[in-house]
Amino acid sequence: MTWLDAATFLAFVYFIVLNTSQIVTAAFSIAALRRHAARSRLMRVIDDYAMRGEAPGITLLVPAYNEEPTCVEAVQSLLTLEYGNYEILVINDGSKDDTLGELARAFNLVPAQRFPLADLPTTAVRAVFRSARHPHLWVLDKTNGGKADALNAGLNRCRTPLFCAIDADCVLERDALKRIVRPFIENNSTVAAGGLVRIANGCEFKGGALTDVRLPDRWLARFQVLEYLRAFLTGRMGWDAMSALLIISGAFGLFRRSAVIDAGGFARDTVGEDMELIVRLHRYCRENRRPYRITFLPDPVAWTECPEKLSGLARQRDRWQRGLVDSLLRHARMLGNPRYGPPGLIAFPYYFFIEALGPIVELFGYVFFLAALIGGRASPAQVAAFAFLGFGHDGGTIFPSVPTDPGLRSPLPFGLPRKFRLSSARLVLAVARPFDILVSGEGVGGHETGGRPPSPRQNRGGLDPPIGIPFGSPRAGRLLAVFQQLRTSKLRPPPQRLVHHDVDPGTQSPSGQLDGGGVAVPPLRAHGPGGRRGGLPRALAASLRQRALPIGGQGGGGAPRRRARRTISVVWQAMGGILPVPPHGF
Amino acid sequence: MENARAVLSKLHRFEGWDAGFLAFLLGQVGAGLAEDLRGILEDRGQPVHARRIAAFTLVHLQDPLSGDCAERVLRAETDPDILSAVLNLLKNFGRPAHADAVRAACAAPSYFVRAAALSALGRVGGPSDEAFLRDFFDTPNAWVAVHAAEALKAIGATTFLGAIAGSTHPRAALAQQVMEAL
Repeated sequence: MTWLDAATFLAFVYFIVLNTSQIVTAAFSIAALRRHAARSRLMRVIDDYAMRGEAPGITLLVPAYNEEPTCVEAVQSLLTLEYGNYEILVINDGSKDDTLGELARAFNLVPAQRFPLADLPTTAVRAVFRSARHPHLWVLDKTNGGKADALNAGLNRCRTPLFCAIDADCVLERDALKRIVRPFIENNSTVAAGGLVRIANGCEFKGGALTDVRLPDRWLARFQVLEYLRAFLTGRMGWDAMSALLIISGAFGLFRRSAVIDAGGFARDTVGEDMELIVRLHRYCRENRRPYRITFLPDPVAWTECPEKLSGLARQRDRWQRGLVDSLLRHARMLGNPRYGPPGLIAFPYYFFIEALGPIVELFGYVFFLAALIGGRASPAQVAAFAFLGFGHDGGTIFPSVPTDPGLRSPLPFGLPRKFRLSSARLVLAVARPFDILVSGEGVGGHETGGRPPSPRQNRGGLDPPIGIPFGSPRAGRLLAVFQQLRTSKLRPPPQRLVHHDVDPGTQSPSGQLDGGGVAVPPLRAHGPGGRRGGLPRALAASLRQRALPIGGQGGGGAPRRRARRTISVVWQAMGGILPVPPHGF
Repeated sequence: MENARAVLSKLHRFEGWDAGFLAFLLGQVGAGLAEDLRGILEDRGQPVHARRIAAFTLVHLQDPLSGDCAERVLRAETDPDILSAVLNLLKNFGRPAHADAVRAACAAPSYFVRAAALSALGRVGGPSDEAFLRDFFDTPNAWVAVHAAEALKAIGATTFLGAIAGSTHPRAALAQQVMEAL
């Protein structure tokens, strides 16, 4: 075997591992999407809660640097979000253009005070403004320090239990907040949740709201549309199902403020502050034995512009790659370490060997294979295998991302009609379609932004009144429907008691939640024994399932047998994500 | 109601859920649950999470009788999670007669209990509490200071806050913020 044969062989192995990983994450995402669909009825009740001012408050942190042309429209879009209790905090990060002036004129900003409640280090804050027209719109003017620095400055002045980090050029769908807050409502241990980011190039927006979903004009952007769908719906959804999600996009993510502050806020010395924060949250929570959950949701959607030129794309990907490598190296001790559960055992090796080293391996793989081909050392079988592994697989995983539709002439991107109108929900849930509807008979949540009106079934907007249960109002009917299911069920108590303390003077909910602002560390208290799983109604069961993973412990330095047992346990529990909820218990 | 009572008996099974959400759901049932909820809140045999949910639901139900119940729990309990929940109840339905118990809670070791107690004192206290609250205004914990400032405003100590706001005091910005929010 020559070195060329060896190199080609290694490239094959790489492609096999890569493709297998993607197939596995896709398989996990299928199960996750099914579970998501099964919970949609309960989720509507949470939507009702979120629309009231009693749900946990959210501060939208919007770092802006030289956003003069788009900042006003972006903020106008944020002002129309459907959520009962939120603030917008735009952080002008020392823009050299007239971003601040534009905002001041458009929203009638007046000087105000916003007392910092945490002390993450940042560059100097010059002034704070508040809109006289929209009291929940604030603008922070500071000297330039980068995106992470701007986010930290906003975080210091965040006084709600949750904050949402978004890019200034992003447009959130109106129901994005009430959808992304769901995991925080149904599971107290949730510290971060990511939503779907979609490409806005080619789409039409009016008054800050999406009015028409179209494909971009340029090929480069069209390919990114599919790439994003695959990366989010089969990638992150699958990683989430394995409890091994390492990335929540900096363009759109919701976080528990106290957890992020306790973990040290956003890292200012990296270009990949979004991934670094998620990896650090995993590490922090596991090292401190804090129960936690980091999750991804397929239906809260943020729209963002993608680069349409190769130079811009190259810069973006260079930044992403450097951020990825930097995050992995900073937390290299997590690599293959059972102490860190699925993130350390499953996600870290994948990101390290496949994502971080992938570009190098792929480049040399193509070069060596070409050399082998020219040198006559590649057999037809090898050529066929290479073509399938290198290209065919991509097509195969992209294919399900395109929904079937009478208006769609070809499943391939170059065959899409330019003005093909596609409803948001259908494109967003494209990957779910082939199996989700077949399996569950009901689409995953999501909402229509265009196209056909919702059917009466979709438009019902709540739980069915249960037969034989008297009720006085639609709301009471929904509640009683839930209660009736509860009454006839034996619910599995979650393993631990977890209380977040939200001190929220401005927006404290009637629940009186108190949230530590990082000045003193609020303990995430865990109490109580676990319980037995009984027979669960399917919709509630999915919500109530607690797949708590072993956290902390002595796994890192124990005997080999214990380590092995622990590793198997972690993998087994991660695999539990693909198992359906049994209708009558175990 | 019958179904709601069935849920009340299983509240401990919802520990992973947001307590405010469960209170929101229970609050939809109506005031008929108030007596049961007060019973759960006072029952030391109930899990902490269930008692917190009961306290939050009583706020939703606008139950005027829950003030006295909250005070009794406040005097008897030491768990910070329950204390903060009943202090929130007192913030909504407390009366001057409850002020002593609330003042005592201001010395709690947990900062979030102190913050909740100061908030409640803003409602049940009076101008005579100004000196007491001033001490907390200068406390190192920012959350406690914010709640102290709001309580000072609530009891009408605007002269003190105005003086701080116009000075070079380290907490001048906080005083200005509270004064602005009129």
